[in-house]
Amino acid sequence: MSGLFLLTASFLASSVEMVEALTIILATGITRGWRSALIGAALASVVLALIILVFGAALTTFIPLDLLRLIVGGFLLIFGMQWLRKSILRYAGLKALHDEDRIFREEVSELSKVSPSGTGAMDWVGFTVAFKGVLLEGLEVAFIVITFGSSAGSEGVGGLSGVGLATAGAVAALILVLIAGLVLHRPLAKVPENTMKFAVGLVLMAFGTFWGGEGAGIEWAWGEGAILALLVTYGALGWGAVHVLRREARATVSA
Amino acid sequence: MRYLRSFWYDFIVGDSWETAVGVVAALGATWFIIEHHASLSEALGPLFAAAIIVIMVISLIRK
Repeated sequence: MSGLFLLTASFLASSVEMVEALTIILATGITRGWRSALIGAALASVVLALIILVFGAALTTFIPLDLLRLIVGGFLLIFGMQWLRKSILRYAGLKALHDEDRIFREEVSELSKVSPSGTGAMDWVGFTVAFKGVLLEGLEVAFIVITFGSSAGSEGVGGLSGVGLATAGAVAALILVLIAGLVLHRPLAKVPENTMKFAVGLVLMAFGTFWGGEGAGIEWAWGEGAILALLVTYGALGWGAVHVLRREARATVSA
Repeated sequence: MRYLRSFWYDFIVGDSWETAVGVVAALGATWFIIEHHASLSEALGPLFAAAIIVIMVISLIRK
């Protein structure tokens, strides 16, 4: 069960971040030239792959599983709660939804104001913006892949497990978003980012609670079945919170 | 380095510091109790999950 959750969570989280990175690459490519934008994005992807490789191996090799699960569980809980909280506030209308079209227009406008820098086909402003954008968006993905993958244990899907399986989910998302970006040639504004963030937030919270609790010494009564119970409980909490906050927001507006 | 610092700050603290403090406190308290009363290791599971829910609700109330 945890193998499938690992793959799905990694895929969804990566899709959200890759959609945001694609907006930056498109804006950079259109205004500063594709060569600089694509080289910057490719180099950032290599750096992210190295981070996953080095830290993934180091964590699973040098840290005992109980301690790893305590630390990783804590981080996953914090991260999952931040994502879930943001998506609840967005659903309730208390926080603006992520608008890729608007971000794209702003990026294009900002980048068009800067005069060309560099020689030949290489534009260093374009390179830097694409590199930084992909690296920063990808760091969250790398973090999920490393932490989730290193704690997931040996249960696998299609011969892959742990960090390898989480990486496969992230790479699948990268390929899918890249193909969509190449075909459409514009930001993927219609991707239901908030729903995906809500789902990933729930999964990270459920696994964070389970692993963090195990690391602290808890023996879960239903074994891994507790993860499902946690998912359902947190899902009901999230859904309920959206409705309560939405009603509160409407009451405030009409008052 | 400035961006990495900003990433870690956004990641751990974000716009709700209560979440990070609450999670660390809940994990620390659970570990401490089980270290001293191992017989509670099964009973503390639901309580730990309830503590996480309370932290989430507090962070939403303090939006």
